[in-house]
Amino acid sequence: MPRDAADLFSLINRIEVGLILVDQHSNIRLWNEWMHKVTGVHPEQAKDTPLQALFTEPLSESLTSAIQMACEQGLSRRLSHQLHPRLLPLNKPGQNYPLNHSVLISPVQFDDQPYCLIQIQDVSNTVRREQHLREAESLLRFEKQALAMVAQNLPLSRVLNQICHDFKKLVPNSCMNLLIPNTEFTQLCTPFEQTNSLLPTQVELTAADLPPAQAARQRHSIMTTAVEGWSNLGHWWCQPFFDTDDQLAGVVQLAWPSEIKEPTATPSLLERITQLMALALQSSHQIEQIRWLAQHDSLTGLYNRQRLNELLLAQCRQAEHRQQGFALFFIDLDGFKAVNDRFGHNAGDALLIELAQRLQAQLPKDNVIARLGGDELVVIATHVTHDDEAFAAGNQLICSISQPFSYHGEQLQVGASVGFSIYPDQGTTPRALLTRADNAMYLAKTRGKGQVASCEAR
Amino acid sequence: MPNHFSRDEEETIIELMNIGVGRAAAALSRLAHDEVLLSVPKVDFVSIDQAQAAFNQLLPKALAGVVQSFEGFINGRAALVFPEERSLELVKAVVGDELSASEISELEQDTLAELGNILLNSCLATLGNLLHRDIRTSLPETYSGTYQRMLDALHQQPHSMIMLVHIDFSLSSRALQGYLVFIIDLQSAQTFHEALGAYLEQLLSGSAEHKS
Repeated sequence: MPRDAADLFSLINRIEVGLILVDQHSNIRLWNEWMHKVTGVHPEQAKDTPLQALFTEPLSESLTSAIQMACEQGLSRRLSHQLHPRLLPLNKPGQNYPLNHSVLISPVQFDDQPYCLIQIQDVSNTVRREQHLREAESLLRFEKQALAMVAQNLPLSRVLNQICHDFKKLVPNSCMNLLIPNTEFTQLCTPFEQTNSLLPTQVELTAADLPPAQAARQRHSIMTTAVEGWSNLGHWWCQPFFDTDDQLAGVVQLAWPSEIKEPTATPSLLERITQLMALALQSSHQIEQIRWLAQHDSLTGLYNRQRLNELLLAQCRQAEHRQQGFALFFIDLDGFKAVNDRFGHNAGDALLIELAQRLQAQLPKDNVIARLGGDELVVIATHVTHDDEAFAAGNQLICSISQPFSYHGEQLQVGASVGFSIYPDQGTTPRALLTRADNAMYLAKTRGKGQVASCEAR
Repeated sequence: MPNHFSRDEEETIIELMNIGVGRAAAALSRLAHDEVLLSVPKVDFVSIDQAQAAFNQLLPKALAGVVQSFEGFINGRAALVFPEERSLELVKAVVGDELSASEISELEQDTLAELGNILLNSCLATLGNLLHRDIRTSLPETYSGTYQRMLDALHQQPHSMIMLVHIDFSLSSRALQGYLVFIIDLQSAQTFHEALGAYLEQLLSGSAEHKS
């Protein structure tokens, strides 16, 4: 047990909390060793000195009024770190950064005289721990939102924009951008329409000294400080990412203006955002692919039956609205089975692809070309409104289809029988128009193939 | 439990609480850099049983808040009580919204303790100052638990009465309801009566002098 005041003082000096006792005039009566360690002011030097005299900065009003209330009214007071982040100008011993602290103020009385006991607690570890927790929490929240948007199949531009926007909130003072390669793989370009970024929005993949191009070529992240011609950027980080076929899918750029001394993010954060971007792009590509497959013939790339029905219905409605006709051509290849039998299915497939490309090249862009299966093709010709035009157009189709095609040294050639129907005279619904054009095509076949027929037999 | 105060005394206490709460609102607004409005308090004097019944009816089972002791012309313990899930709202309103959404952290507990401290000190100091009596307060502590546990923690003396003060907090973006609970040791009730009596007498003689 402590025997006397000296023993008690030695105990007080071992406490890892700052203890200051001041009288009602704020003169220091006790200043423990912890305070000495933190301020460099020796207890003897502090004794009987006004508290304010030991600090160059004026003391916070919250602190002085709390001391006054304790001495005059006997009120205890807790001053928390969150509400008073720099209550006293204290630094971490031996370090050049502020000591995070909270303060407890209690009234005490000795010999009927009021005093105030000030306890200063170091909360640095708590502040650091909670900062980490909060950062981790915001990152999780950010990832959850990003993944939810990807899962909802929102448009890619919206997802990427939102990811960039939310990410900037996580990384103060930074600017961020995404670059994706063009189809020729010669350039990296931003997919965003509007960008206020300090960063380049278009980079040649061969550019020798630009970090995004370097990162893309070297297939790993680049973190750099000084880049010639980009003195406005203090730190410039680039992280490439790749698709499931290991092809370059994009580069995420993160940078800080030159006045920011230290990056406000970690490389692992950049990696996480890049993974999210890659996921969003991949998911979007897959959805596009599924949508494409649902509407197209996978061999020729022409529309399939399902899509043709939708587009034909839309065309009927538009024609009704505009009071304007159009023609529907039903094409059946003549001699296609023979090509398949003689040269094999690969040759037949190659021929179908060639014919699809010829029709796409020959017909106006707003015409719809579909493959119904086998060797049956359908064309919606919006510019053809009369029988005469339809016969002429049908013959052009036959002519184009009948041109020989060279395949592995063999000349492949087919003909075509074409039937047509015209909206609205020969039908106003998809079903009626298709049936009539199909019937007309059979008529053309029975008449000897290689010709055009109308459903109004003539 | 019989009411220990006359109607005049009760009205005086309500008035003093009103002044105290008003001062607290000003102090909280300064800290929040935003207007914190506190409603005119509704004051009830109840027994422990009545307090339990009132809490059972008005508050969820899980509470969180701040407790501190006081001693002087009256002795006892005071608490600021919120439904547990909303106790963080006051802290968020004052510190800002970027804080953790789910659980109250160590630093936030400290902040909640300070906010409760400001409110309770303000009410108790106003009682002491205007009644010209000494009252000292201890350091505040945060707690969380059921209202039974809270009442057990507060109710240390066998003979106590409870002054229940209901206030509404109105902050720029949210509304919050809380209670101030003062558990006053009945042994000190006599000095409370005397202090209130002296205050009323002074008021009356003051107004009489004014009239004359």
